[in-house]
Amino acid sequence: MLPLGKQPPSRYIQQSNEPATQAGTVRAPSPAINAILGRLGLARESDEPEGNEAKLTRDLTDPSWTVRVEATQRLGKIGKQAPLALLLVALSDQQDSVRAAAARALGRNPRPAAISALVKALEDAVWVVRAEAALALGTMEEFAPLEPLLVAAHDPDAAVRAAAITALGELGAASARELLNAALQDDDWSVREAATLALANLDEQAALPPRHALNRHLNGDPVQPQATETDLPQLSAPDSTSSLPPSASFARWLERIEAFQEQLTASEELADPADAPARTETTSASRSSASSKRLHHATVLRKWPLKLTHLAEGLLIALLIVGLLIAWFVIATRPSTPQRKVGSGAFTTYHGHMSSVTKAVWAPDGQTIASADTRGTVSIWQAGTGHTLLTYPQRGTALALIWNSSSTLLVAYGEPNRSLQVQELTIGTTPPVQMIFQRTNLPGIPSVAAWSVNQQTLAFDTGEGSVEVWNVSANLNLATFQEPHTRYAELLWSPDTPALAMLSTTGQLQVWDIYTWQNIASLANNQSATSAIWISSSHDGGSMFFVTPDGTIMKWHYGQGSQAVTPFLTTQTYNAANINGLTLSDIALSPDGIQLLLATSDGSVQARDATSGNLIYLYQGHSAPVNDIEWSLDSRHIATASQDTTAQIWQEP
Amino acid sequence: MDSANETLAALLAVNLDRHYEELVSLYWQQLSVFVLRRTRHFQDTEDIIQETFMRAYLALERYPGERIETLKIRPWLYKIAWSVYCNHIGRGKLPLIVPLEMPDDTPYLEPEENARMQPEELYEQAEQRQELEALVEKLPAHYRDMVSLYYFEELSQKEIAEVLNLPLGTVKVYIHRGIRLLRKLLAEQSNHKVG
Repeated sequence: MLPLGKQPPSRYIQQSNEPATQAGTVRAPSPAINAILGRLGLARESDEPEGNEAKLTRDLTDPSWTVRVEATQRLGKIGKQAPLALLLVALSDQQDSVRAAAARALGRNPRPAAISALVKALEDAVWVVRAEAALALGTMEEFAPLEPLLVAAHDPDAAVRAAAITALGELGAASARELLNAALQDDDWSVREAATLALANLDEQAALPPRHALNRHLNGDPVQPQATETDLPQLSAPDSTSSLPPSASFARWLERIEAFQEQLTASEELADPADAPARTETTSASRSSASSKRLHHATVLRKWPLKLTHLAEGLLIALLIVGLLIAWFVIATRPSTPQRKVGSGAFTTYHGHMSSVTKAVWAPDGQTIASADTRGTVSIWQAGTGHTLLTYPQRGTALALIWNSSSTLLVAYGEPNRSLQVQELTIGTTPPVQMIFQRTNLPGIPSVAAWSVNQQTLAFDTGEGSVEVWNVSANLNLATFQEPHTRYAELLWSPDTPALAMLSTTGQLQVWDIYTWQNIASLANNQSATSAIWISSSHDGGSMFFVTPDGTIMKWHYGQGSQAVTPFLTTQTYNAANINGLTLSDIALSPDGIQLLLATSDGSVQARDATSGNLIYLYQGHSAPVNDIEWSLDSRHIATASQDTTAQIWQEP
Repeated sequence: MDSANETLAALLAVNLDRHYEELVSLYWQQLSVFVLRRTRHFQDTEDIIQETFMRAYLALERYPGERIETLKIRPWLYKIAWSVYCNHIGRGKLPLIVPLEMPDDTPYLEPEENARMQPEELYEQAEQRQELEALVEKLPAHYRDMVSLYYFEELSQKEIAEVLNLPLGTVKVYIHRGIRLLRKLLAEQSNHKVG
């Protein structure tokens, strides 16, 4: 009698005509194997030559996807000589197996030129492709961008999360340590396992010689001027700060310069003119036993006290000049002007999130904050104390939050099953959450949404070119804007009129009237925006700030059939310290229109006069870039949501 | 770890793409039977098995070579299959119903090899494997899964604990009580036949 476990039910074995190859072991039928390997984008390996480029190109356009998979796999085997363009074609193939094979091939022959395509593939509809893309990015070493992987580490699919976490570990992304620690609590064991391995990887890299570890960190940090840091005087051995995020590393760099300056100052104090002759004499005398020449020199000095005094004074002046020059350099290279007010103390720092905080929204009473993170968790907490009132974990992405009373919050979630849900979270009720609106079977996964000021109208993209506007309380579709093949970066409701600004990922900015469905204004074709905010709008026209791809903040006026675009703030102005790679992560205008806040990628927030652009003060309470800035309605307090996983409440210092 | 497992693991560590087909070929049938017992639906089973092997491949791609070489492939695949199955039916975790605070070393929870023979005896008595399977199916879900994994899939108690992500003591309790229930069901059935 065979062991029980080796005897499949007769019903199922009839499905397979394959003979048993060993006692009790039935092999899988070929169609089953083919189906699995096919979905993975794995062609059976053969010893045939890889084929020339012309053949591979032909094969990549073959109607049969199995031929395309095989061609892609052959391209991967060619190695780094494989034409990148062909692999990129395969990465955008309509068949997911081909895309998966292409991502895998790119990962095994890493080339920086493929990074943007792989980042895009992280948003693929099929989880295998996303997972392969994440793994591929993990092989790109210093060229790999961390942020998309940090986002992918929160993917709804466990295999993608595990792949992104593995990639972060491979990249030695020390700044992801907190995320990796949080992933140890993931619901899925494969993610927990990946996090364990990734953390071990990080620990291994931390144990590397300091210079190596430092270089790895710097390589993973495009903002950091590598040459400058490595050329610094080594006042102390690099310590654990080499694992700090970019902004913290830069701050540490400044501290080291300051420490160097302090040493200089200390040496200057030692060289006090009052006792300079005596000290020179003592020093000379002590050295006199070592060398008769020096003894002679000391004797000369004793004989010529006046000359000695002059010499000491000269040295002192030289030291002072050097010290002043260094001090000037330190001041000039700081990201702020020291004469300006600098604040770093928050009234409240909320630590309830386990991942990058994406949004923070004030309740109408100004006492409560709702914040959301990249894992989809929404927290409601007291602004004054940071005490959590309600936490709602959800797997989807929290796209837009709005309070419709001081105790009720509406959250629009983009769900990976191509739906959009609006959940109502109410403090003090049971159950605290109920779904009040849902749109299913959308063509894609919604990625942006915005609530209008009336707290009932929601605009969201459907993931594939169109934007829908709904009154969620009445379940009424107000408008649908179709723009095939367009993806949206932002949707922005006018604060004053029923106008909706739509910013596409390609930089097109358009303003539409949602009731008449008419295009009110479009940014000229020679202009492009990466983000925007409203300044004002009326029935005659409006104005917005927008950020150009090179980082310049422009002011756009439109109305009466005409429009004007004028530069408001150049990159050189808000990046006076010329920090390499400094970008804007968010901008926000105060409700009274007086101040414009700029969040920069070093984690700082600059407050500038909204008319002149002059710097008013600098806030440095966050250790990582700020994702979202929200003013309280009275323009007195500010809530910031940051990648450092905190949200903070603060005011002008 | 048996030598076949070791050999395959070593081959996978050297060239995953070339040898992955072998892994699918070897374990497809066992996993399919395991899943089919639960779903009783061919299409669902096929979907779950495909996804299991896809996830297994992605995991092997992530693992360092040393990890693959020391991998106990069979229980590891069961663990993935179980996870995919649970997601498929919308069951995140195995529900814990009975009290589980029993220490792992409780003497009567050590059926081990002797106990492993008991279902064989049951099998002899039941004459038909299908009959035994039908009896196991009558067990409450939390017992059924354990008993099935232990006796039909021949996973060790430790491996079952790993697959189901449960403490070893819990697994021992469930198997022990499952067998006791199975005996009772069999006795009832025999009495019914005699009657």
